[in-house]
Amino acid sequence: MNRRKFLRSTALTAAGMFAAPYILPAGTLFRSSGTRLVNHVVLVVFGGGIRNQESVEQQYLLNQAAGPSGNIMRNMLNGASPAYNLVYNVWDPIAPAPLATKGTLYKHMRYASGPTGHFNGHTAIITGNYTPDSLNLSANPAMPTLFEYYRKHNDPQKTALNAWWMSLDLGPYVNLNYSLDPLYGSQYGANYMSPLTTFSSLGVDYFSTLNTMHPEELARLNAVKSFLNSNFNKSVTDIPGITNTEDDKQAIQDFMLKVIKGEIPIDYPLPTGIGFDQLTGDLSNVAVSWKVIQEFHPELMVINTTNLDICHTNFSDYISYLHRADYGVGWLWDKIQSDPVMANDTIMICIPEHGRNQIANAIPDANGLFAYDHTGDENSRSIFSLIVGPPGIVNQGLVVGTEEVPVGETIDIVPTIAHILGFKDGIPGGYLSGNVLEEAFV
Amino acid sequence: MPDFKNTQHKIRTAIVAVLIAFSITSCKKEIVEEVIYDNIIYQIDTVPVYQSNTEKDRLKTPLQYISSLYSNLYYSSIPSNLLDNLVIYRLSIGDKTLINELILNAMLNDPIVQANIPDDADMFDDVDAFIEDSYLRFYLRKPSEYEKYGMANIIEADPDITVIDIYRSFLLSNEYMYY
Repeated sequence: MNRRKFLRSTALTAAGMFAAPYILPAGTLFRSSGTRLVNHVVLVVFGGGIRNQESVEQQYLLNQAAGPSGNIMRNMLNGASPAYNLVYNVWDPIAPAPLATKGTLYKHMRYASGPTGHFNGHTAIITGNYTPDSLNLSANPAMPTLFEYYRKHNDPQKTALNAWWMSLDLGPYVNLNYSLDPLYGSQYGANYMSPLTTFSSLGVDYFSTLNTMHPEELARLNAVKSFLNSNFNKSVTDIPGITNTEDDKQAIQDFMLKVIKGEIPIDYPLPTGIGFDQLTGDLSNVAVSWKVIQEFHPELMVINTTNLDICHTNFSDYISYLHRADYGVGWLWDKIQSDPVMANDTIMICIPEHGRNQIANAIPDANGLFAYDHTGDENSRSIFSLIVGPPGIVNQGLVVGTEEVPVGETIDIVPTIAHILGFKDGIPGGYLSGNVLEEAFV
Repeated sequence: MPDFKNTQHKIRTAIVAVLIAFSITSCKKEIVEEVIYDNIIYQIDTVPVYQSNTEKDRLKTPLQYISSLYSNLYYSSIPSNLLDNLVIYRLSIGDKTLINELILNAMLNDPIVQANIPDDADMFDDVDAFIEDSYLRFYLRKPSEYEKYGMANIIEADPDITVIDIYRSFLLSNEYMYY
């Protein structure tokens, strides 16, 4: 070995010694994700259009000069109930202490741009980008979703069993589990379920006698199908929708069939003594979402509520739905803390998709209270957010933002979750203009 | 000798039902398919609709997929309310391969469908005829020599394989998603 060869091989060996620890099993040289704050995030799109007046401002009927102020969201917020003139059935909180004491309340945030439509608001939260007026309601969003960022940039990459989008309604919401962005798309999408349909009477009637396939049947299916597919020039990736791994798919089918058959019982967020006639679609969605969390312990779960949209025509029912949705959130957090995998390793974020108008419309309800639309005035762009999580990670009992100086925007949710789960640095520049809601974290 | 004549009659009925479903749900440019449909309804000739799978380049809509599943298995058109319900139900699950599998398995579980399915013994008695019938029934074309050979190998190598196993694979295969 001559001197030059010796020096070169020594240099290469030294470089290898330094580089080897950074070469990850996936083959990448540098880790694309950062440190995680926790391993699970539950995002509740506390939707339907909620005014800050009835939520964080706790004005109750004061705004309509029809009664007192008071807190109708005692699971989430600090504050006493209205003292009289109740237009809703009061449920005692399930949360031992308001969730605001276990996290940071962004009391005044902004849904700063784009139409104040429910789907626009959902899309802005889930993609981290405001939507144009021309948003296509029948197509997947153009910009990548939170799920795609998570699945593409988390290291190591996780299957779709770790990412779920659970919506109350079908309609355009079915399209929010992945985008049309050519660098992301369905291969990085989330599992989607709409429990009110999946576990409807049709599901029970049609699938209740069905069993999951025996492993031998499954092996034959895969073998024969593989032969058939090998003779056709289009693959499953040409077919719309996300695709689970075979094992994950069977696990989800098994879960679905067990729920349909009642073998996995659903607990509903109802206080003792309250009948099923008080159950709302929001609460049903929360209940099944919890079962999915309990079964699969996903790292990223997004749930929505939308019943409050009744506020277009019935203010009293809006109050009642808001009160019950608040109970559902408290119940969900209570369940999360009872689960050995999720407890103390979960951050939950609640945020409405938009607010509602300052001025009521002309539609009175049975109590003579007037309803509110959401037509894009400044009030309908005023929202709040609550971020709760373990002490030492999430600032406890902190309130930030005022009406005069709001803090945070809708489009900050995606970067914030990317920060929590440690994949923010992997997201290419130019996709997200929002910021991490830093105030919430220790 | 297996009773494939009856099966072939049922296949013709299924083909007619599938084509009716396509003619209802497809745009007007699909004139070629309508002409073949006329041939079949008058039974002038039972030639396959497709000469090759390369002719299939259009993805079936959920409505077309479910209605063709039903037609292929029940030999009749799907009731419109059931079709509507299943199309909506299918929307509620993000993994379409998962929900397709569930819908199909529910149909295959139906005694009415099971009565329309050839016996496993008949399949093993004449594997070649079974393969040809299956390709015609589900893919609306005849198998290539390679496909006949490969499928026969799969069937003959596994004495426990059933007709339902084969049908399930056809109906969940990528080619069945296209027309």
